[in-house]
Amino acid sequence: MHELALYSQIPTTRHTQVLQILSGVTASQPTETLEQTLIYQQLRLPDSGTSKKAQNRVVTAQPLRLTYHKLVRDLKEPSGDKTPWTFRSEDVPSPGVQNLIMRSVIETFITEADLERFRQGQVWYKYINQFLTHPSHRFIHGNIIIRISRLLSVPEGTGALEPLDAPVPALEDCKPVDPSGSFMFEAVVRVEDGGNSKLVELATKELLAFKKTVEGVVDLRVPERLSLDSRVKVKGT
Amino acid sequence: MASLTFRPWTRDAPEAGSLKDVLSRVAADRGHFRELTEAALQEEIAGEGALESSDSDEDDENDDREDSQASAKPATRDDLFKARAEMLQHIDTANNEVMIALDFVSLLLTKDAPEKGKTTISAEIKKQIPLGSLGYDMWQNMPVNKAREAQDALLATNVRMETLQRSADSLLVAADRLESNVRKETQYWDQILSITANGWNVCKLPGQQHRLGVTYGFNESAPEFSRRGIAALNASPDGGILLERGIGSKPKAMRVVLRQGGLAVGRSRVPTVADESETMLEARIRHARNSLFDEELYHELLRESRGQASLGVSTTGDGIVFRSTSAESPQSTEVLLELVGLYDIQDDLDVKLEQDTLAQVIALVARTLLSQAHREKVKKRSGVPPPLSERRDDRPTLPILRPVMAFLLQHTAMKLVNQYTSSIGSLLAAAHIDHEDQLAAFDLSKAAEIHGVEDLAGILMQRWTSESVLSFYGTKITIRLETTLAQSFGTLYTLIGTNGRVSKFTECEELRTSCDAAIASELALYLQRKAGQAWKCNVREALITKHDSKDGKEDRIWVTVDSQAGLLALNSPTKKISWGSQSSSSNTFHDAWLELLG
Repeated sequence: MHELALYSQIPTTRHTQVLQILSGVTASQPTETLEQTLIYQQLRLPDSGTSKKAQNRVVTAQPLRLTYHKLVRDLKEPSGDKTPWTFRSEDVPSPGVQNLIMRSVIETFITEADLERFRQGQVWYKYINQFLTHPSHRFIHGNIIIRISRLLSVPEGTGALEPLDAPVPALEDCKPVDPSGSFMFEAVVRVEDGGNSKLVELATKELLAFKKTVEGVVDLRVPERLSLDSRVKVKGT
Repeated sequence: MASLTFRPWTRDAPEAGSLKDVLSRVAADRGHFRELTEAALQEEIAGEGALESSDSDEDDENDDREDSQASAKPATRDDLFKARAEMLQHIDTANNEVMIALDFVSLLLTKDAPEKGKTTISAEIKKQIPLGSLGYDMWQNMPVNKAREAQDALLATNVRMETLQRSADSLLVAADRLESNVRKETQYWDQILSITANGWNVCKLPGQQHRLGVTYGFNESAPEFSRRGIAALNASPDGGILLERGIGSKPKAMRVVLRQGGLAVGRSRVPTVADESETMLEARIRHARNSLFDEELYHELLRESRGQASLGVSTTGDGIVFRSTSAESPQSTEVLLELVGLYDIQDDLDVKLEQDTLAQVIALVARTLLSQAHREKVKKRSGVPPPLSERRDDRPTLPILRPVMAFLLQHTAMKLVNQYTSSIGSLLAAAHIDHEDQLAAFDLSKAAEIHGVEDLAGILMQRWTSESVLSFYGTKITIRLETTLAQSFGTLYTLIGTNGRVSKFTECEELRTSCDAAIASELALYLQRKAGQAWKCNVREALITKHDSKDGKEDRIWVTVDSQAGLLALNSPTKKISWGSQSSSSNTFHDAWLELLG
């Protein structure tokens, strides 16, 4: 599926005010979430099998470059620590779109078998880092998912243990990634099929209308496209 | 004009000079009447005897003039120029004035002595004003007319008083208007405050400035109802508040009517129209809100009934109708849900019918389910939406009618089963067979866990089950009832016999016959066990036979149970002993058996 997104930044002093205004706009209360995201670097492209047929096939379905993948889970769910992980792979945002970020995203529940690939010692993935989002709130406005969160980086040495099984780092030890403590504001619309121009247009219209609605409260803008590039940079040469 | 007398020169004969000559002489002598006063001339005359005095006078005069001139002599050159300019200005003005006066007189003259006037009049005036247009009359001074003057004075006073009065009046009117405005505003805001104090939400009307409105609708209703949920508050001319025209004037309510055999046996309560504790305005708002809620409820019920036509729900001109059993029978209750205007049905409100409570319960349940559906909508709206795709979801029908129907069906089925059980019980009692029965009732085990409306609604949505047990002579027959409208209309009856045989039915009649057969079989089995080895029992037909070796014939005895006819009978080919509604023998079952045998 494709995601269309706009971003903004909220200083700490305005956090409560923005939460209240959005409650009024969406006519509902925010849902609190605490997301733990693990970032992995792909070391090898997944093979498609070594049959003769596969070799003759044009390899357009394969990703051409290694990308960073994420494993996300929400710790505020009732199952707490045992919440299953979600696999998330984001592509580079599409170059042609000027007024918002549109990128292809794969987000699926991951089975235990596939989860094995992420463990330490495997050749598929290498663990890079992880971060938490706290405090994090979520609003839904029609088809738009609005997330207001502050990113916390985990203390040194958390990566030593197997991150999939390790206990969640204590919140007191985590420091915000942004020292001023400002919040990240994200408004996302998801489209099932990015090629369907009618749907994409509908989604764009909805997102831009929302931008206009909150104009003055929150300044939604389009960040630099390449800063969301998820491809692994190959060093050397 | 001061009269000048000159002592005539002695030599010449004095010419009584014309005034013109005199004036010209004076002008030549003294300048143009400058500084010439009577007093000064008298002084001159008085001091004119001696030449010295006249010389001195002249000297004095000269000195005076010099002095005055000296005093007027300007200090600097600038002042001199300024003085000169001022003097010229004065001269100009004077000249102007004199020319104007000349023109005036000339114009006057042109009427009576045109030639004279024409010579002296200036060119400008000639151009602008036609000659001879100004005349004069000499009037005698009117004698002083005291009366008229008094009248004039009185008139003037009166006019002045009138104008003053008028201004006073207008001020008073303005003050009145201000006061009434203030009063109206106070009243208006008092009423608005009282409305807010009672919990209604007063807000700005979208798109209309300077007007307030009150919201009484529900956010989660269908769009066509939530749009109607706001009414403007208009100020009436006397300061009160009027609700927008038409709102709350024809309140509607949903009513449930239970009918059996065409006659109404139960009616739910509709809210009363008059309530003394509120003002008219608040009553209208409350009516509007209740009416809107009930209208939405009826609308949703209609939508649901259209989809549930296969379940036996139909819409007539009045409302929505469904039966409590799938079969037509005089027992079955018909439930009618209708939308009535509160003012139309005032007459038959006082009649109390027997099943009013049930009807009221149904109405309450329907309203609770609608509120629950609203709550579900909020929850669904707050959950993460699926990605946009081509699929378009129609508005789902809210499950309001279905739980109500399920409940009613279960209730009726239970009634039927209990009726059956008690009739069987009476038959068995007539035959002096010990028995025990447990009537079916609603399974309310979860009632203790209810903490709020949501739990209650949850229970309403689940399927209903209940159980009835009949036991005698050590055997047990269980009847289970289950109603859920997810699959099909009607209650599912399950009959569990002693040997664990399970059979399911959808009609009560089938259950009845089956159960009768089962009971008969059980009784036969019991007899067979009592009778001993010689007898064999055909369970299916409730028949026990003994092969009699002597006659070569078989003795047969069978049991019949017919709950429809109310008959329990023990039969042999020759004799029949029965208990029941028609005829009852006084033997016990056991004695009858012995009688037949023997």
